[in-house]
Amino acid sequence: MTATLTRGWAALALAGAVAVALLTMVSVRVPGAAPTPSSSATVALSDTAPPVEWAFTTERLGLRALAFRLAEPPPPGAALSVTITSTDAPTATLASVEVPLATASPAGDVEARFEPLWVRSSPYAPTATLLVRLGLASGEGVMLQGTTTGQEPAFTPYYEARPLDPLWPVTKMAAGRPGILGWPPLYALLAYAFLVALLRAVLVAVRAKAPVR
Amino acid sequence: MGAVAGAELAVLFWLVPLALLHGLIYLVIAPPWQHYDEPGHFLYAAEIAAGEVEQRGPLSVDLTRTIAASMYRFRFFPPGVQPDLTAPEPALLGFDQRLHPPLYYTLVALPVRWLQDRPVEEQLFAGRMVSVTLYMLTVVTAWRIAVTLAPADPLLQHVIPLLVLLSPPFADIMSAVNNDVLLNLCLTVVILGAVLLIRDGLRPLPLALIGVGMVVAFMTKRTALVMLFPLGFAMIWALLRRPVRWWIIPLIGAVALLTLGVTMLEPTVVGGPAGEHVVLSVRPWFAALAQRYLRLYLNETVQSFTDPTLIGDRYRILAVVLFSDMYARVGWGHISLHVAWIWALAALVLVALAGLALGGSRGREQLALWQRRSLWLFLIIVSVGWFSLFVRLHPLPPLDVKVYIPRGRYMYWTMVPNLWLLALGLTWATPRRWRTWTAYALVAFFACLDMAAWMWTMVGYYYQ
Repeated sequence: MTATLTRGWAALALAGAVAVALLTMVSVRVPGAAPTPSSSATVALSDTAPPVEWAFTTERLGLRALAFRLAEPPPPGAALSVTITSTDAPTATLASVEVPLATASPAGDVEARFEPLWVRSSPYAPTATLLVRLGLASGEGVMLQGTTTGQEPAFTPYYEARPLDPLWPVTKMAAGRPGILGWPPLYALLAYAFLVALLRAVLVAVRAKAPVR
Repeated sequence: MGAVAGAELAVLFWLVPLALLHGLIYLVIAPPWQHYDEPGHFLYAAEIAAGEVEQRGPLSVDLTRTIAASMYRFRFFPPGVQPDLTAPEPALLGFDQRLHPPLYYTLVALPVRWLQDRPVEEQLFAGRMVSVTLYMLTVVTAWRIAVTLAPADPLLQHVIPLLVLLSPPFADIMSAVNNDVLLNLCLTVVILGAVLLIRDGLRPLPLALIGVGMVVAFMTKRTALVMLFPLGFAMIWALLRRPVRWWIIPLIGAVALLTLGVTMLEPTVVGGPAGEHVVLSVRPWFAALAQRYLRLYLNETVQSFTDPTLIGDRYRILAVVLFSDMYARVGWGHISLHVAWIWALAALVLVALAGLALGGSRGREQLALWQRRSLWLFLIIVSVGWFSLFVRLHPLPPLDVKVYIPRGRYMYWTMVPNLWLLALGLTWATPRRWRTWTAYALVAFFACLDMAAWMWTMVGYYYQ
């Protein structure tokens, strides 16, 4: 009976650890503030014209995707080229991806996805001013939806977040740290393991009948 | 014997992993450099690893710049302040810790040397792991003290190490790169040796624990000197195995103090804003001796200590700082738990003091002589810890000049006796049938205090 109970508690603790790990490993995308799209303005990309460049300031850490909207169906085989650098260090590429336009949704949405960016312009603010360069990797010409205000195409930034972050900001705790300390689930798993071990220790203390010596 | 060994192993099976997990939590949550003088302490270890501790060279200058750049990245400096990394001189990282003996830093230098090609933050965290290992050993030593002192009380044997483990400021400093970590372990081992000495007399094990503990403590930090006074009492009690009249030890103490006072001190008239008044000064022969052999300039301290016109509000401020540092402050002492916790702790301490006073006389019948003497030793240790910091305040400048307030971390070596007396006092303050619940409640209180510290206060301060 005792062995069964012990195994039962161990299984429950392990299940809890798996749940905590999943909760912190699963990340969600949170859309950020974006320039207002215009139904009439468009931005043309062609293989003969230079890439379109613009600067935008992130509002939080963890930028992981930029979404654009096609203004018209793309030619076959066309692909976008997206390169991101920081205005503080323009020669260091933070992200560089090619996005085949065949992956666009029926509404014409296409996403450039990359590893989350944890750069900041200053240690004291979670923001960074980035330089985005958008061109054609292949194909002859593409039309993207424009904005009401600028020359750049309409885009929506997506940031990485975890369901646990509002409760305990594991993403921020891990941001910028080296090695395993840069893995957000570590913090939640450590906390969980400690709480389970503490509960067990208290139960042992409550049940203690025989002194050690 | 086999059953005892099995029971001990069973405790270690949950206590050691719990201490490790707890130490790791504080290790990972505190950002780099966010402990007392951690940049300077780490630099000392890194210089030992780089072979440039005696004479600073180019590697050492590079190290200071690397550390300063990391401090900037991890928001150590106030907004708008940036270290100058282009100047030819080493970057300023705070107080130079090379005045301390190198033993602790040599230990930390071991993993730092292996990771010299890795980012400096990785090296720092590796150094912190050395401290966490010493923290685990300290918690285990606290458990041994509980087992020794309360052989018939299984609950107390579990409660005491849990309280030591769950103390947020203690866990915070013991997971930092700081030579206080090794000092706290050594003096806790000495306390274990002292309790065994009082119980068993002049036996090899307690003498070895005390000897090795004090030698390593002196090789870590000069302030280990302060433990000699309580050890003197432990020695006397180890020699005087039978009960003595209660007034004999205070009488001997008073006579000794008077004799020392008359031979070493003399009255002196000094001036000041309050006019001429009499203070005590050190006699010239003793002042020269202290200066030559202990590097202590005693005269100013003694004069200041015996001059009440310099005190003002300073003792009150110091008492508040020490109390809150002891229970409810982490980081560089700049992160405090909510004031409600401090008031609750103050109430607990007051009740515990009343419990000790009330229960002390009743305990005479319930506790063996060696147990009562051990508790007196704990009281002396805690008193010496507080007294040493009040002395450290001196020499005091005039009242209109700001004074350096020493931090409570210099008292963390008294943590085990301190928590023992707290637990005992609270237990004695409650009726017998509720004492078990008092112990549970105290552990629950400290568990909540600890979680409030790392789960909310520290994370809220650094990451929101």
